[in-house]
Amino acid sequence: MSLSTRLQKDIEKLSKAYEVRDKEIWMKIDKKDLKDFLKSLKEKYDVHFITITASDVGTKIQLIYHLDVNGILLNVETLIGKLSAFMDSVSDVFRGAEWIEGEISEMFNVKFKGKEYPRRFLSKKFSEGFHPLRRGKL
Amino acid sequence: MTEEKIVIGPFYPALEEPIQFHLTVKNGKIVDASFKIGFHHRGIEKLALKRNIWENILLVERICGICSNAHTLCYCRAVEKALNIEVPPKAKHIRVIVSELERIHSHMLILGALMHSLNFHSLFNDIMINREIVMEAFELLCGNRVHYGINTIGGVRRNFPEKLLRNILENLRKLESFIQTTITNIENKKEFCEKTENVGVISKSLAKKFDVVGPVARASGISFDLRKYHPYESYADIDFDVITRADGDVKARTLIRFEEIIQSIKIINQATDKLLSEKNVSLYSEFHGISPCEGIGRVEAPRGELFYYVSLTNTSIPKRVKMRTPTFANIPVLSEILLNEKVELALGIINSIDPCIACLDRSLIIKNGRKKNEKSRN
Repeated sequence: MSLSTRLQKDIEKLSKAYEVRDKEIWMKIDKKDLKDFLKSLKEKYDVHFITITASDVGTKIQLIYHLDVNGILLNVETLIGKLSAFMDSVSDVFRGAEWIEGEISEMFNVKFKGKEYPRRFLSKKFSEGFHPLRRGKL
Repeated sequence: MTEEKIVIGPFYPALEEPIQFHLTVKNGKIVDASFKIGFHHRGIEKLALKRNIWENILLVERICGICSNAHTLCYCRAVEKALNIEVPPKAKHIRVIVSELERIHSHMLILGALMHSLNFHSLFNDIMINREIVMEAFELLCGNRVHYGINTIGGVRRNFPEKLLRNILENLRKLESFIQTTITNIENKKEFCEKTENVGVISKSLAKKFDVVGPVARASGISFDLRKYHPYESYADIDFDVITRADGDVKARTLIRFEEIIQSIKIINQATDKLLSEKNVSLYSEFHGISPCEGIGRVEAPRGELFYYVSLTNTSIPKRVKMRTPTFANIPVLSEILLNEKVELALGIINSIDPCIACLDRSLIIKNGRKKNEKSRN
């Protein structure tokens, strides 16, 4: 069984919402399952953490975790509510996620459980409560 | 002996760009290291949402003055992937030539800065003088030494004349012999080895833990190079080696860059032959209409893997442009490798990971460091 098929089977167990494009897999997952999925993925495969993309999509914040799993680009997408934007921190699974979580915390006001990112501004021009990439006043 | 605090930067001659290092020193050795960034903050990701996809090429080109081509290439590839645009072969070869010329000048710049910080001033002079070969090549090919304006969505903006390319290849042969001589001279040079061997060691496990990329990862024995791993443009048809070293120290990170320059010259030679023999004269593919879609671009920039995510709606203004630069992945490891090193070697270790602060500060980032010290500083 090829790696891609093996990976797809692992993904199918958890989520039916996935799509294969070229050498990329795009999947959707519930936010409560995400951390356990990433942990199990790291145990089974050689995973290279790339980054997390956060986007404001109206009433929700979309987080896409980009990983390189043995040469396959895996994009794991999850949605979190804007009013209570909480997400499990994966910095204990991938050390490289620490900085990007901190950045998302500042840009989108997303709180990461299990990791506290103090609010410190690069620019003094930003007022308290201002999150540059978050739309609306929330 | 009591602890002393040393602050380097943000504006310091041996640092290429503004960044501030806070080092705590005891008995001449570093016992704590943290850094503060943000002196370059420009909010590029926010600005990208106010411009259309073509205007953003100019914006992302200005993120960094050293790897400006890597940014436009990666951004264009992300948009091309989203819109399913196939780039003509001639454009692919031109993109490879410019990317490799950029890798040479970027590596030579940091090698020069590294030699300067290690007090090898004559070597610094030699490297910077020879770097002019590439800078002049850029000036002749692109009309500019910093922002080349080559890439566009669907291809490239200009062709390169054969006579000019032949002259550049001739000059690159001189550069290659200089690099070969330099490697031979410094590899066993006692003064160089004393300052670089077993200094700032990133073991393979540490490199994997922090997911470091580029020459920093390859110097620690991780054979990760997107040009081979996920070949893009015409890299799949080009024969070259991915250089790796196992030591993970400053010496390995220095020598690997010298060796990569030789590989880059090899790639430019092959890409030039392919470009000159290419029958298809088209430089870019036209496209019509934009529909909601998303695309990812990944490119091996001089410092490592560069990543772009672009999400589009029905208009030409993107919904989201996200970039992950190699320095963003490489800098956190510094707080680990600086510990227990002699303070006089700190600048050499910092420069050995080739930090590009302009790339790093493209958006908001928290500062790193040990929590116990953060409280007192804030």
